[in-house]
Amino acid sequence: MPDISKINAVAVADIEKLDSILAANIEKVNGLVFSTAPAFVGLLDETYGSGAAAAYSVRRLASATTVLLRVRRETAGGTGDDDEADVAYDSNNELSLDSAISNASTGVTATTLGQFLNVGTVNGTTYTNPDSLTVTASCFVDEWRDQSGNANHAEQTAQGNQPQIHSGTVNTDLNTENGKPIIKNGADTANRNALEFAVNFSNDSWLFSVCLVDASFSALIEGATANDFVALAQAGSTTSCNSGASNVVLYKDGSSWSATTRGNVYSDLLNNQSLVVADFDASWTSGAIGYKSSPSIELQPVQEFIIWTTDQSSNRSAIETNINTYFSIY
Amino acid sequence: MATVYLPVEPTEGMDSAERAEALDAEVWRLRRPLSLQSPQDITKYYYPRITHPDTGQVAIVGDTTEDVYINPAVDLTDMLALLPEVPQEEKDGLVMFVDANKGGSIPFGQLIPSTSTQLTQEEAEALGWLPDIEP
Repeated sequence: MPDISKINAVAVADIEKLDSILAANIEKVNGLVFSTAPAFVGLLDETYGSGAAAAYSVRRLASATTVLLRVRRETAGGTGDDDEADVAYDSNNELSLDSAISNASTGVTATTLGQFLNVGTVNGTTYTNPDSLTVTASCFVDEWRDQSGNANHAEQTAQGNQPQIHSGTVNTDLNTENGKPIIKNGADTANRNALEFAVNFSNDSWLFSVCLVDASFSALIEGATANDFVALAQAGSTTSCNSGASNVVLYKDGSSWSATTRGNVYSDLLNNQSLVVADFDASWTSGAIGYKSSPSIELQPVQEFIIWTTDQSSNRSAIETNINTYFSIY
Repeated sequence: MATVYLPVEPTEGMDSAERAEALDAEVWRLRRPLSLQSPQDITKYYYPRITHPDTGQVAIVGDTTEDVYINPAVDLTDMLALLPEVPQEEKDGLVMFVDANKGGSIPFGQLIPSTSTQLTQEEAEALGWLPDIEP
């Protein structure tokens, strides 16, 4: 019996999930062919999405992707404090507590992120505590992996500057926005959370980001120096939101965005998950997600951050649709 | 939270940036000694560091009220070697203080040597440590 057409009289075509795993991702059941699982096709695999210089997300963006991010857990000096692990995508190709971990610090036996953090019971799933943590760990991102294939990983090597993905509250899911994980300022750390990367920007740089504003002064991207930024947000400010970049054109939620001041960016993105696209010219050789040069500027909570250094004007709409289909922003 | 800026002076064989990086790594090792670190660890430092836009000097940006966990396996040998200007008596006192708090925590402000310059946020701004981000 090489192929299964029904399970318990239910046609395979009518089965959406099996034990929470999407049917499309199940190839075999007890060694028998269940269906031909379609090959994964991510945004970066699409013709319109190819050629990114760097791509960071809480979802899988490419078929070649293996790890989404590397994290560090904090237990306030307790067992397992400051251990690290790579985190993959789950069966739905996104970050979750079910995501497998690998390449972990010595002594870690947890196999999923939920176990690694000892989160307890979340959304009906109870995660065991194989590492015998005495508390639920808070979780910080020290490396957001570049899925473009260029290894431009965004890193933060100082613990006091790392953004957070789980609060450390028992029986609580990852930080989320509109149902998807989000990387945001750590509540107990200084306001200088930033993940730094090396990319040679060009005179046709395009940034696609899913983000929002939750602080009075916050940044989406800083370039090589303190005066390099695009779409800086500051409550009430009439100063330009862009610096160190020229010919900046902004889009928000698929339409042209007329924000020119920091105050505009603040008011338009305040607690408002948005798809922000920036087309700009810059010669920066490095950058940061957030702002690394001043403790008074916070990271804008972010879910996806993709940079192209070639013209994407003809692909913009298709890329926006791909992103919005997943994040359901507008 | 009480932010403190600690400009790091160069020493023989190390410029400000190199010494600040080394000191920051030693602060992290109070909490996670080298013996516990894995080669694949990304986290290697405790606090962020900033570079003065004009002089190039580097400062560690700490928090005097933050409790720094002292790992029982802590070893201060390398940290003390990075502090040649600190009087021996003060170093001995630091060793005793840290040893007495292994497994506990110490406010970061109590770990700062008396020889270190400490700047408040306002003082750091006045001395040009923070960038003027007005275009």
